[in-house]
Amino acid sequence: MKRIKKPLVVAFLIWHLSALFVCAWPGSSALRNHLGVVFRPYFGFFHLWQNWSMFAPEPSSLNAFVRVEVKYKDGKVRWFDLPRMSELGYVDKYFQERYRKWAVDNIRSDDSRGYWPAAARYLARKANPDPLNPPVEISLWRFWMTIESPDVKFRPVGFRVSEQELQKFKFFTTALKPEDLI
Amino acid sequence: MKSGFNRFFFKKEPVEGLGMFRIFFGATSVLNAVLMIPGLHEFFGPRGMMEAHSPTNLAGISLFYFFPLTSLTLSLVFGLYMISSLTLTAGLFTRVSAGVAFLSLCSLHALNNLVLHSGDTAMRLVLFLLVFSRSGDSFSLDRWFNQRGGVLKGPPRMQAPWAQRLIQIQTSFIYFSTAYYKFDGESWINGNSVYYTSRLWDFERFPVPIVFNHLPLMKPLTWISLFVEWSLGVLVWVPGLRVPVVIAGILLHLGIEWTMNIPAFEWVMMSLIFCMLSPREGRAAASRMIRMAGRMGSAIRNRVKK
Repeated sequence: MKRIKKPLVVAFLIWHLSALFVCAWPGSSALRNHLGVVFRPYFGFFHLWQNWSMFAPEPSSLNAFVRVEVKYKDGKVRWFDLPRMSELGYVDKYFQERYRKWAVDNIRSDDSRGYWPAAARYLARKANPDPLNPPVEISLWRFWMTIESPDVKFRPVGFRVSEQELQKFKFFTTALKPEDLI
Repeated sequence: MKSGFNRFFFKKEPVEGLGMFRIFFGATSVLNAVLMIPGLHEFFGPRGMMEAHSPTNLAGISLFYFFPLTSLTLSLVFGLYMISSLTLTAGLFTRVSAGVAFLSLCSLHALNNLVLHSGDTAMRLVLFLLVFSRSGDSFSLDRWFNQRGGVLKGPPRMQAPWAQRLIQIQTSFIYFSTAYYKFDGESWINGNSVYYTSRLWDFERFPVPIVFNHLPLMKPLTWISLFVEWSLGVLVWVPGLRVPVVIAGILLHLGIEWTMNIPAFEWVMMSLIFCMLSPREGRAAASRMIRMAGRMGSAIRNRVKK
């Protein structure tokens, strides 16, 4: 048994480490792209994909959030923000960080446009407390401000700006059907 | 080269450090599960942020290939993750627990990759490798039951550390990669990165105004952070430097945990850094921690008696 086990372990070590260096080493090369064909199915099947560019190559210099505009059947409009960590207490921040990840890092970005319809329907369901007056249209807005280089304008830690100083853009609008709200 | 490979992966080593790592890492997995509870159905549920037909980048192994995604099956898979994280921490059916935790976590992650952060990725990777490790050979209920049943006697037997080596390589790979990407960033080189990260409203936690309001203090902090990350990828393999690098890494993550809101990630990484200690250093650290815990326990008992 031992004579079979060690060669198997050695084969696994070589396989796994090769996959790691071919699929996840920073940057790209023609050779690694070529070899990736062999290892990508293994990485994909076991969810071993990884990218370690946290706060890199540059940390974000953007303070942003997503605001939702909902139009109801009776013509009224309601606005609400997706959870903003800066307005939560220490404990709530811990529990709600994934909402920030979803909204600010992903849904806000044009790269996530494929997710926008599902996101809008989810938010419409959240904004539907009265079945007699359902939402009929929903829009997603991004608000943001860019932190200037400290050499241009030094902002003290904990600074805030008024909403008028934020830039804003409506990036998605959709009409809602009754089945979207179920 | 062959003998170096054999020595590195197969020379039998103590397992106490790995057992202690399993407890730290398992506890972070439990914390991760607890943090998911309030938003579970919104993050991953059938009527949550994603819908069955939404695109997803993670399409690998998943329990939801066998069960339709409903609120009930989601709760069951989450329950599996929570229970297996607890049993992994306690070292009960350790390898099976690691496997179940890995499978259930992958199943959840595949439902919505837009709410995942780097700590989630690290957790998946390490749970996968823990399945192959002998992390249940020490400080575990498995061992306790085996000792009670007379199956095991004496201290834990030394084992080939190949699975722990894979976790170590993965950890140093994480730090090397992140430092590599940062060397391309202008603000990491000119020292302004800490200025930007400390002005991100969503990441604010406890204030440190004295340091973060002075560029001459923030610039060295930026460079030190980058150097420590690079060291955890490279210098950590130099035996004489490993312990100071590990201590610096833990201090770095404690500092980030104090100043920035990045739930669970710092704790996952600190547990991984602990695993970077060589098996013998890990055993020494584990003994020291047990002695410290013992001293704290007797101090508390004495205080209660008084």
